[in-house]
Amino acid sequence: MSFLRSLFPILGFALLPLLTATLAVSEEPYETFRVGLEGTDLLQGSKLDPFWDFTPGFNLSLETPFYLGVGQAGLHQFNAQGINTPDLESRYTYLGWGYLLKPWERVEFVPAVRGGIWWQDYDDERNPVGAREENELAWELVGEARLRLHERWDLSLKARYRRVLTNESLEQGFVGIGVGYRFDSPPWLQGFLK
Amino acid sequence: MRRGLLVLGFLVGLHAACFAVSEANPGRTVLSGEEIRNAGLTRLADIVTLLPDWSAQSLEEFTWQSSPGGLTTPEEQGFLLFVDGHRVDLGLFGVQNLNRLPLGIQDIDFVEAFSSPTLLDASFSDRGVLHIHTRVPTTESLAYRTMAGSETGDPGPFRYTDLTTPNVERIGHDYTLSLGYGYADSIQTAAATLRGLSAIHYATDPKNLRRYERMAGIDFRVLESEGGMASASYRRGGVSLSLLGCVSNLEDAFYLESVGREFPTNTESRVASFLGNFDKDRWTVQGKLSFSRGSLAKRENNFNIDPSWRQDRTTAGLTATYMHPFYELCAGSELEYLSVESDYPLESDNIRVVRFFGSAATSLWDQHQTFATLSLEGGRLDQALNLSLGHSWNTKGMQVEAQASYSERIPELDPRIWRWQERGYGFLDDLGVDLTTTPLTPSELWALDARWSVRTTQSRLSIAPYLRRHQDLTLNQGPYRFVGFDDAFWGNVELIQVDRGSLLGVTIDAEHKPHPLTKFATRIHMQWASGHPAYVSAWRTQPQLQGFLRLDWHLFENFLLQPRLRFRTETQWDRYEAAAAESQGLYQETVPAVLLFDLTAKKWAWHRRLVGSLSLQNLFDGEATYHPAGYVSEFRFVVSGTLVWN
Repeated sequence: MSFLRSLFPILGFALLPLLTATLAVSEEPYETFRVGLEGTDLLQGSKLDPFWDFTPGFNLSLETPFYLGVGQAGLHQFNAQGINTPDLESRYTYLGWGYLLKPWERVEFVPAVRGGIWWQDYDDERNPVGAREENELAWELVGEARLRLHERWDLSLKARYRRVLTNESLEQGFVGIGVGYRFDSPPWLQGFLK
Repeated sequence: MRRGLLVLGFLVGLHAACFAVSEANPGRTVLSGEEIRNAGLTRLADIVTLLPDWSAQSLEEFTWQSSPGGLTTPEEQGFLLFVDGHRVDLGLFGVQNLNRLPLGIQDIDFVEAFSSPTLLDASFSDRGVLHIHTRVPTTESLAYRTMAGSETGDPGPFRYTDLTTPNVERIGHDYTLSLGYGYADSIQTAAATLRGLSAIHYATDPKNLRRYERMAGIDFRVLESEGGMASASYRRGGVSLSLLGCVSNLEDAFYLESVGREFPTNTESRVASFLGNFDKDRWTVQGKLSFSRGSLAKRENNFNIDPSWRQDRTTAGLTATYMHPFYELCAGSELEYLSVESDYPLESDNIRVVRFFGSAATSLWDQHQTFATLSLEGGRLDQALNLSLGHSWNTKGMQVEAQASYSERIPELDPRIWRWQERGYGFLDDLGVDLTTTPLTPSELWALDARWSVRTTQSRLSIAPYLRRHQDLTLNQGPYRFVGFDDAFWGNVELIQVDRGSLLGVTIDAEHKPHPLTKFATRIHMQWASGHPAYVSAWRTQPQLQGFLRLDWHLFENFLLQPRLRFRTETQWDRYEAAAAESQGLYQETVPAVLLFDLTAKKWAWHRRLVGSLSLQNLFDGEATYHPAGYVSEFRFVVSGTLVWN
């Protein structure tokens, strides 16, 4: 039932674009690509605070128009030093779908929902190499604001709420700031993806 | 006397001379390869879960006990398995574990499942038939698939804190690769395929974890499999030849219903099979030769359990068919030889069975077809008679099929462990199981099957009721006890004779396509048992109602979204009553009803050569189990990527 409770924010989030449909920007699927790179930091308040000291990380993302919105894929790398626990290297790989809103010419908002896997690798010498890894399913809600600096370049500010589906549920909040670069996709790539 | 009357009645009923394998079969269900792939299956054996009338159940969801159309109770299963027409025997002590077949689900073209008595080629089965048809390459082809999945609810980082909990099931990564070559011109066709499979699955459900830990250590891989398959076919004029060979090694936990628990084993399977067809004018002659080897060897375990078992089954058959515009006649013979090797001294280490069969089909009137089969089989001690008579009526958009069958089952062909125990196989004794057994005797089955189907351009509906009447079945009724120190169950064997029992069931299968890109599909099965209390008790372990409702929604070009609801009603396991009390409520003899919601998303790319799939199963995170001592499945995801080059 906890999952059902989790559905409410997702539904609310999904309905948001309907209210702002007039602002939506629609392009042909895979017509352009946006590569993004940003620095991220984990907000305080996670259940892991007493056990790990998380260091800033980075997020590498790829985005393209995808039926009624934008499709997203990416990798979020962030590590932590253990507080009486093994050090942790981790990556979150995800796929997502977002809604591109353009209220003003140079400003874009991209609310998105994503699902992915949080891969963890613990520096735990007590266990053999294969047993030091964990991977968990997670989903996240993302709010992103972008300022177009140039036809191809933009500056982005992002807030992410992530819920990791572990037995003891884990919620994490991240903020990030970064840049994005847009390019037209070559015909062969469009054909490949279609 | 009775057999004589049966044959006489059969011949009278055969007024128009009619025997043959017919497409008409009230218990035939076809699963398309696409349906199988979209369901997010993680193992080949899971195919039976898509067939509600097979009532599949499992302790750990790795191996399945099934009951095709109520033909057998779950403990005495023994359905026949075919791959591209080749008989493949993976059965060991009544467990047909399809995971021993080194075949990836991306290689499946379609699967035929028969849940009524059927004669397929020369083999008559009143225990069900599963026929897997693989993709036949028509040119150079390559298919590669990788799959991984996991259940949610792992401890994650909390494993290093006082909030830690046990890990839960992990699947993969699995890899399958197939390379094919096909050639066709106006004179000849040829095809060859090489396949390889590697799979590794972990199961650490808390309910089963302590048993696994006690048996084989904490990092117990429930399934680790590697294998390869090669097949080739050639056709020129009226001659066609087909070869199939496969080798697989599987490390898993072998669940033996007789003892109520699984134990670690190392299983090797070898299959070599040849099929030859010769067509001339109205005649077709088919010859076949199949060899299957299955062994159950010791796998490292703390109890030093060694089943010490290897069985070789060889079947050879010859069939001749004459096709006339108004009728079809077929006759043939099959020899089956099963030999066994074990460290246990056996009174007799082989079984020989000879079969003769005839079949006919006729179409005296337009749209009507009558068909019948007669099969006689004999071993050293007993002989069995199998008869079936059927009729089908096809009109534009509607089909009615009906079949009545009578079959005898002889102890020599009983797939369970008991016949070998009678011959000196002392494995159960060595496990410390108390045995209260009775000699196996022949049993009989009367089966009535019918199906009414209607079809329009947008919809399809079929309703298939059946009635089974079993006589003189031998069932294990021994109660299970709870062993507290490792949360295990242990069963003593108490075989009893059940004079009679009846089962009434119905399967409803429907599809509706309101739009070219949208399809609703449902398959529902219901059953009711009556008769001897032990018989009814055996059937109460299966849901009275189960099925699924599915929507195939091609949301956009090359993008599929498939929500699916699965449901099954409560089951009652009387044999666990004592164990439930002994575990002080930790376990119950009742398995509750479940309603599960799955969601699959699938995206094709690169002109449909690349396929990515994400399957979210049991999305509401309900606790779903099949068995009182079984694995409890929770919300899990399965990701797969497939590359198909053809």
